[in-house]
Amino acid sequence: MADTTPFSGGRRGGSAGSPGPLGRFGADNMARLVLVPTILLCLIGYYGSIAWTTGLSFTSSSILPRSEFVGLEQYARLWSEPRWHVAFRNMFVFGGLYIAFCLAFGILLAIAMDQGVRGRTLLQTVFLYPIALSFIVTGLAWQWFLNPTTGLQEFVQGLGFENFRFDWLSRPDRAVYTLVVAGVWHSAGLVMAIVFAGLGSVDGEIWRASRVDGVPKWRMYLRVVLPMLSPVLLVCVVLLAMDVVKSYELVVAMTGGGPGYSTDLPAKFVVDHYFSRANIGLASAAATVMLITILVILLFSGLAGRRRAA
Amino acid sequence: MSFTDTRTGYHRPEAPTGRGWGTAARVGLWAFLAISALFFAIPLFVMLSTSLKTAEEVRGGSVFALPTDPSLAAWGKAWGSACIGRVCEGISNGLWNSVKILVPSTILSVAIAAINGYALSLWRVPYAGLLLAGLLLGAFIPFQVMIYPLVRMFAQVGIYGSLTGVVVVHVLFGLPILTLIFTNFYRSLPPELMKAARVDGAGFFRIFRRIVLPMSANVIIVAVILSFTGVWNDYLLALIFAGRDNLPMTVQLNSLVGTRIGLPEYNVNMAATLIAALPPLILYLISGQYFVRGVTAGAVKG
Amino acid sequence: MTRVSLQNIDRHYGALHALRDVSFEVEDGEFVVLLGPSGCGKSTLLSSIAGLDPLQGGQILFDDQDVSRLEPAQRNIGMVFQSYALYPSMKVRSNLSFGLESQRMSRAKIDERVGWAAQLLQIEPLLDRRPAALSGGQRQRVAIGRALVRDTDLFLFDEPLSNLDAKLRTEMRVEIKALHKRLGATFIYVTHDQVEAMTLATRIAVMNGGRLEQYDTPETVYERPASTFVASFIGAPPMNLLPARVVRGDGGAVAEVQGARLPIPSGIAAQVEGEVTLGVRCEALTVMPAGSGGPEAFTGSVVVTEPLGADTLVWVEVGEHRLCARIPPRDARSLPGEVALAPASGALSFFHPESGQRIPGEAEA
Repeated sequence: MADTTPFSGGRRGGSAGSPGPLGRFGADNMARLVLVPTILLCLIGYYGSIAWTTGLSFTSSSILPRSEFVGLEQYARLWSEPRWHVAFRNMFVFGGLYIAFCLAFGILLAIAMDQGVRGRTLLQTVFLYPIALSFIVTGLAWQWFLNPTTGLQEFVQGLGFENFRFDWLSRPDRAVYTLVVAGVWHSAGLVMAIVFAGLGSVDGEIWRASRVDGVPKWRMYLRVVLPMLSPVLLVCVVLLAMDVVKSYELVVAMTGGGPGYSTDLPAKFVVDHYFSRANIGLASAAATVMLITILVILLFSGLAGRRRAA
Repeated sequence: MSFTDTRTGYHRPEAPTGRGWGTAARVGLWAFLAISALFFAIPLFVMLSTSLKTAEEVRGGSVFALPTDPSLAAWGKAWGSACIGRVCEGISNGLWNSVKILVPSTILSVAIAAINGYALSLWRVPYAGLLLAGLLLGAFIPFQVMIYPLVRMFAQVGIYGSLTGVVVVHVLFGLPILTLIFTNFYRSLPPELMKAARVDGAGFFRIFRRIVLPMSANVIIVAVILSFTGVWNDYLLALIFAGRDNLPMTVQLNSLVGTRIGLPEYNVNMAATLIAALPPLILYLISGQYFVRGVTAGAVKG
Repeated sequence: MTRVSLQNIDRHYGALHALRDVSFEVEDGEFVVLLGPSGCGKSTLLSSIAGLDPLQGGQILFDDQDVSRLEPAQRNIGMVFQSYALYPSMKVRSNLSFGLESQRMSRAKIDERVGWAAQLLQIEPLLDRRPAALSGGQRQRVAIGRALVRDTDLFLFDEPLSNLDAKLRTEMRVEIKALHKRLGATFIYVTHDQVEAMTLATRIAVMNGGRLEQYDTPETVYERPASTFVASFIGAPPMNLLPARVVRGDGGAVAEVQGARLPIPSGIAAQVEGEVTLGVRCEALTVMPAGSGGPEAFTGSVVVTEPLGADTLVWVEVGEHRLCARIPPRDARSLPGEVALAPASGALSFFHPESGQRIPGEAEA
């Protein structure tokens, strides 16, 4: 990668000892020097912290960190906690649905917008504005809107449909789906914007060729255009997956993890156990499981990306 | 508003005369777009109309009903006198806290990221690719994995629970994506320009100040927007690192809504929510295409 | 067999008049090249023939059947695009068969067509590769193959060689010509490259500003350009153009230009008055030592010579004009500073000084 820098030409190895005017290798060294703070910050802040957390997960730490090594005991405790099971499962239920619906909805919106409709500017503004809002705001808005006693259910019943029920927010078995609705509302526009930009980069002559060949448009999207955009779609999946793993704020604002702990997610589980329940070892074990999950996702998407490139 | 279609080579795939679409398909297309637009718009509309109602009207009427007598009373209360826990001062000082966190965080992270991107893309730095990859991996790791050690480290050096602490942590987590944006942008500059500057004998900072920076206006705007929304909308980092005196608006908002004294005042809650949402929303509306570029920056090949 | 008839084609894009009243006929098995500078409307015209661009006036007939309102797929044409427009997600085989599948052709028939085209273009070893793994020339072949598999006798090419390097372009040019001969089908081909036009075409349609300037065989277009535009667009270097004064004397009319007096054929003399624009190709000028050319020669000084290998171009300043002449390289070595340029008899073209239109002689009219 360094070989592509414009200043590398002609100089083998690029060591500071190469001949040249004083300013030349002075400037090269300056470029390295300015990166040092960032490198230190990252090494300590990211990788130091990650190592520290991982280390803590193997100790008997509870309210205070301790250095007594207990092996996988914290992990065993973690997996014996029903709350963790709910949180971990929710990550996949919420995550799977969130990613699937964001993608499907976002792609459909982008394709619809790509049909040369008028008012594209306004539509894009409407579809994308939720992304400017925080998950806290998103959660509060949907909490209010889906609140069974004041929101949508009340409204529809007021219209005369007395038997209309939409009380998912207060049902432990359904509340997690309301998170999906709010999440999709927040992020589908992002997928739309990314895919729409991708659709615009498709060579116009391909569309002309398809018309000469008499290929129906839906077939072109399915067989040609979306496969062409697969790198872009992969990026969308990765971005959305990051949201899922980090999705602390949406849960806090919308359900607080409830009813009970039915909408708990690992992100919230970890924060709660660090700061309000003061169970540092257990929280660290949970955090480490999150870390492994994200590494697996990255590994798979990296492999998928490489396979496409090959 | 400036969402012009800046996509290059834009081509409408439909038949130019519209023959490719039957009337039924056109109607279906429009119905889909209209229903989608409603889905996205309704929550904002409900928030807005609720915030303009009185508490009685909120309890009595439906969420979709327009306020009979719109009033800004709830906004006033949310701003200045709503209770968060036992303190009844609204979320106004949260705004000030948010700004205090936002300004240094944004300036610092954008400035550092710009220099980083410049050094990584236009200069010969050994292992530049590895450095960038290491930085980006950090962006993908959940905060939760790093949060406790960071608290301990910050406490050690005495910045835990302070403005400095929350700014440092924002810079730390803002750097990867911002550095990526700058690196990608600077890689696209014509290399001859920098070679010419080198031949003219300009040094690292001189080239940056005189040549690179003046060409960076667009990418800086994108970076500032991204940093602005990221910092303003943050909840978790501020909650943990900012300390009680510096809690920003998002944290105060959630506490306000969570405070249950007497009947819940939904109109005040919604007004507070809107107040907290307004700055990024306004930024979104005025920055248009830059905002889109900012949020889709991750999709740009890294 | 397909005959194409274009009748009064009109196309606007807002205020831009892309095509103005274009009419011509393409006979069965012809190779017609649409030639012109960028923005002249040649690609728009091709798109109109394909049905990719709607008409605003006029009609298009294929074998006397009006196709003006038909979708591109219904017109049954094969088309090759400038960027090749291959479907990147599909292997070469699917690229060839995709259109046929969409027309619900039977599998056996599809395989037969694909096999035939692949064999003809010698791309059989590439069938299981993706476009990204092909070289420019290979992509070009696949793009032609995709057009060939259609069961049709009309093929449209939109600047198909412009993305290839010079050597490959020459090779593919020869192959396209061989393909035309072998298929016996009708080809309509857009290019801005006059060498392609001259070498490939049975007839060239020269376009400028949305109008058809001339539609004729390559020889005619070169030797008897219909306008000063065609004269200066075709040929490298372009035809020498000189303003001249018409003087009538005892022996008929002569064109006076830079001291030379060139006789005007009687058929043309009757149509001109006052001013006329003279045109003469470089190779129609004979270079002689100054003073030896007689009254029908221009005299001027040599500015520069450009050796081209097979022959050498001599640039001569005559008054405020710069004329080119093409001479054998051997003669160029002993060239004096001052020379006389004598036009070969019958090689002069005459154009109307304002409209730039050719003034036809008796043989042409």
